[in-house]
Amino acid sequence: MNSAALQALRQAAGPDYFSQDAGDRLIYAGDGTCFRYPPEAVVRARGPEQISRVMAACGKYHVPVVPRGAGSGLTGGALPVAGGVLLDMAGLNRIKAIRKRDQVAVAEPGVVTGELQAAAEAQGLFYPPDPASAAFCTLGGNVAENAGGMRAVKYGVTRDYVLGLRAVLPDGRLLKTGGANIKSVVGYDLTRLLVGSEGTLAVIYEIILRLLPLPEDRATINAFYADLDKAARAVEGLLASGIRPVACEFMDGYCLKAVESYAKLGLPPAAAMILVDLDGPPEVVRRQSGQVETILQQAGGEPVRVAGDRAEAEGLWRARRAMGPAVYQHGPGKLNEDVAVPLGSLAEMVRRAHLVGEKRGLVIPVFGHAGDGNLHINVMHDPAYPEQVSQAHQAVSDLFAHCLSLGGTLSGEHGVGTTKLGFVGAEMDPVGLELMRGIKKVFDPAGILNPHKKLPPPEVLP
Amino acid sequence: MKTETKDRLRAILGEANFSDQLIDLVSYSSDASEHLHRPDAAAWPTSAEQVQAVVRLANEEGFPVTARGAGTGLSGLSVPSRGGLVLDLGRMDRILDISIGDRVAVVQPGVVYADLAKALEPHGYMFPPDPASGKACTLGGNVGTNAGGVKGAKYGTTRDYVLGLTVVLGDGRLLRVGNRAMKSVSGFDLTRLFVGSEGVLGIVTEIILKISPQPLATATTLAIFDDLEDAGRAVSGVMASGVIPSVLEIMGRETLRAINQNTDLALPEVDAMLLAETDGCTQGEADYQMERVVEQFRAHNPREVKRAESAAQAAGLWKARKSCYPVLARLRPNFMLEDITVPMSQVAPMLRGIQDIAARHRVQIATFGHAGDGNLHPQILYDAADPAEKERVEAAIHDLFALAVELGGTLTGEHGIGLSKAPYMDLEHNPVAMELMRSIKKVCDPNNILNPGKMGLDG
Ligand SMILES: Cc1cc2nc3c(=O)[nH]c(=O)nc-3n(C[C@H](O)[C@H](O)[C@H](O)COP(=O)(O)OP(=O)(O)OC[C@H]3O[C@@H](n4cnc5c(N)ncnc54)[C@H](O)[C@@H]3O)c2cc1C
Ligand SMILES: Cc1cc2nc3c(=O)[nH]c(=O)nc-3n(C[C@H](O)[C@H](O)[C@H](O)COP(=O)(O)OP(=O)(O)OC[C@H]3O[C@@H](n4cnc5c(N)ncnc54)[C@H](O)[C@@H]3O)c2cc1C
Repeated sequence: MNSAALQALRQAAGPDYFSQDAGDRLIYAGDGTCFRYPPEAVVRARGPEQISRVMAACGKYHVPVVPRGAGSGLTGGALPVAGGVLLDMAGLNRIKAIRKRDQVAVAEPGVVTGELQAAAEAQGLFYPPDPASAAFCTLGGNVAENAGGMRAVKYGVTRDYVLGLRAVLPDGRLLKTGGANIKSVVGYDLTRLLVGSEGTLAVIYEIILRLLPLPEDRATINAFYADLDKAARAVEGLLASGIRPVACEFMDGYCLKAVESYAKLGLPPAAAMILVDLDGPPEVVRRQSGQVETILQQAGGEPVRVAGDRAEAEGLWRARRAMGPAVYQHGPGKLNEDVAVPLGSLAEMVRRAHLVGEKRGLVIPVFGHAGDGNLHINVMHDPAYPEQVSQAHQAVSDLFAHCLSLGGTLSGEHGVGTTKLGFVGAEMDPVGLELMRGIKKVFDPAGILNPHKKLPPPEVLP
Repeated sequence: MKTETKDRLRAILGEANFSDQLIDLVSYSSDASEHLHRPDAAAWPTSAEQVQAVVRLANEEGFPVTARGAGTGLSGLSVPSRGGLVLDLGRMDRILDISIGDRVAVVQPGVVYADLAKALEPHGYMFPPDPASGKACTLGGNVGTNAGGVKGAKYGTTRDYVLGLTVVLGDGRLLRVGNRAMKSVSGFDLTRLFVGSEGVLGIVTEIILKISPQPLATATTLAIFDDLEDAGRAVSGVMASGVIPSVLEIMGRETLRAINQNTDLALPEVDAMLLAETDGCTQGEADYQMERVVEQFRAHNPREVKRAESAAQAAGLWKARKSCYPVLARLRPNFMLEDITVPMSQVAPMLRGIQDIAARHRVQIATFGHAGDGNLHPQILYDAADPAEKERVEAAIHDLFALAVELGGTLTGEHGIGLSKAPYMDLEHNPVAMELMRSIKKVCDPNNILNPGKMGLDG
């Protein structure tokens, strides 16, 4: 960036919102991945007019702009890989309104997901999307990634709650999509085109979200299985019962072993654990939890436990929640994949992941959101040994190949960012890629907004 | 259309799948709206390859191609307003796969909604949107319009169930998007870009749908309110109660009066009637939820609350709601069925506003709709042969849309823009959004071949 560009940017951003400080550049160099790319400058977003001015300046000088929420993304979406400006959205963090009777929230993108959940709850309302990072990730990041989480089986993902957006286009113009209506078919669905676009189409500065009434009661049940097929049958039986569980989580034997050695919870030895959460009016939850217990037992669950109260439920969840840190019991390095497969191929995908591990001489623990076929596959290795690192990367390629051959998708919720860019061409049809490029051009003809993300460059195509 | 072009179409499609007979052209000149325009030819493709070949020819020769399902659209969606070719997808009507393990159905676009429902029923599954036109409309049309129905508040609309599509784009390229996985974020959400795009961006030739287990039990209740505001508050109360009813429908005074004049249901002619259904996997569960709904009804001064004790009684309670459209449609020579959606708290103010607008313009408007998701259907009854009345109707519609937008609502919740609402697009979209949509159209359909003139995007 030359000094004229820097000068223009500083002016567009406002001096108090602009920094080239080495410390700032370091802080904003990384995200939830292990990569680091320091930006050339940092701009703290102040509001739509300022963002618009910044975009215009960046356009004029051809400077890349990378929006960033909390930087918790797991695929490098917020990394300034081409340098340029890091646009920190975290300061736009006001919840502008919670309209109880409309069951709608209007929030700025820097609001931390957990804070919106709490603010909704204070009014007897409920914002269902619940990524495990809710305590620190932002709504803007959730919208840009179409984040999922623990409640997606019953409640869906972020997309299902975004009713409208306000955004700044790369050329500085302001776009308004949608409103506070649950249904609308006026024109193309631009709102959902922006959801999951990973900050490559527009900078979102306001979000209208749908809320639901707060469920009155919850129940938690878990079950252990001696083999994968039984666990898969349990999931199948549960989903076919007509009960809509909030969560239906899965952990394989490697995960259980890791958690046991990490947290000493006294888990029985097993090939799989299924964890089910239910919610709703007390009477409904009571009836359903009895049914779920029977279904899990009939599939061969041994033991099956129903939590008697919230404390016991937290106890059952502990194993799942410990998974993040516990998985490192199998090795200091992790390549974390996030495939989703058709529901009928769940057990097969887990089995194939284990086989890939055997072939590559690595441990590959699998856990995830069984109820929607979204598996987090962890390729554990020791980065100190180059051979293991190379095997780990080959294992990832093997896993993607298996996932696609089962009709699955590379990413259920973490996005493409930079880390999966090389694999997108294997999943997306070439016409789809052309269309995506065409759409990118419509929004961002100069290609300044979050370049080299989401869309593989033409030369990477198969 | 030149004879030579027609010959080339015959060669692509086969003699039996092409027509330029007047009777066919007349049949394809309308849908369920008041719009009329005759195509130059009609075709019934039987494969994606044929659709591609037809679209390529259209690009070469510059004639419009309008995809058509069953023609039940209410906004002139499949009326070929600039002539050209109507492409009736009705012969691509195979259900290709029903996988209970994966919870998906893979279908061709010409499958009728009810036929898929019938095929899913033995498995205990359903494709929930349930538009009232289900006996006739096609899944391709449902995708084209993002169709909804009475179950929207709990089960959402077509969009929520479309996992993947095969689409012939406006320049003949074949696109596959999505897959059988329940979640995917590996590209822009092209799948949902096509849902609700009214056949303007591409022609859908295959659909992967998510299916859901059928609820095993339901409970039904009807509540009658003398006062519209009470009914509105009851709706808010139910929706905030923690129970999400599978159905929460509202019928206004004019609708009740009209039903009474044409049936022997003898409904009370009050301000509003609400119909609620709850569902669950046991009767106990459905009943318990219904008790909670009834509590809310009772808390808001109902004149009467009638709970069905049997399936037959439930069917009786449904009769009024089901007769709305056919009864109203017969009352006067013409009607327009609108489809406004407002934020949940604005249902009662909107209903009140509709009454005022009707009085002000001296037109007859009967309203019913999906109160649970704020989607209201004011049906305007008139005689098109009376120019003065027609003028009043147009003024009333303008006021309706303006009021909806003023209350934070939207012009159409499920029926689409098509021709009917094209002039009003910019009530809701700023010029930036309009321009983006026009450019996206260009990316998919560079020569404006597909369903031109719709959505107000090409002037
Ligand atoms: C411990 C842990 C657990 C996690 N669990 C889950 C989980 O359960 N489910 C899940 O889905 N994800 C999970 N994630 C991933 C991550 O938290 C999500 O992707 C989250 O949505 C990212 O939000 P963020 O605010 O950190 O965004 P960032 O990482 O800062 O940015 C993510 C992307 O969004 C873009 N972006 C951010 N703000 C805007 C804006 N205002 N306008 C336009 N684009 C913007 C960025 O450019 C980038 O491409 C987890 C991550 C961690 C570290
Ligand atoms: C009595 C009655 C009740 C109704 N009730 C409801 C209701 O409850 N909910 C609701 O949402 N609607 C309702 N409608 C409206 C209508 O039935 C729906 O819009 C339906 O989805 C249209 O389906 P169709 O097969 O008739 O499509 P058509 O009317 O033929 O076409 C509709 C649009 O979809 C496009 N299209 C059709 N097939 C394809 C394809 N293969 N690829 C791309 N585009 C395509 C067309 O070009 C057109 O723009 C009702 C209509 C009537 C007459």
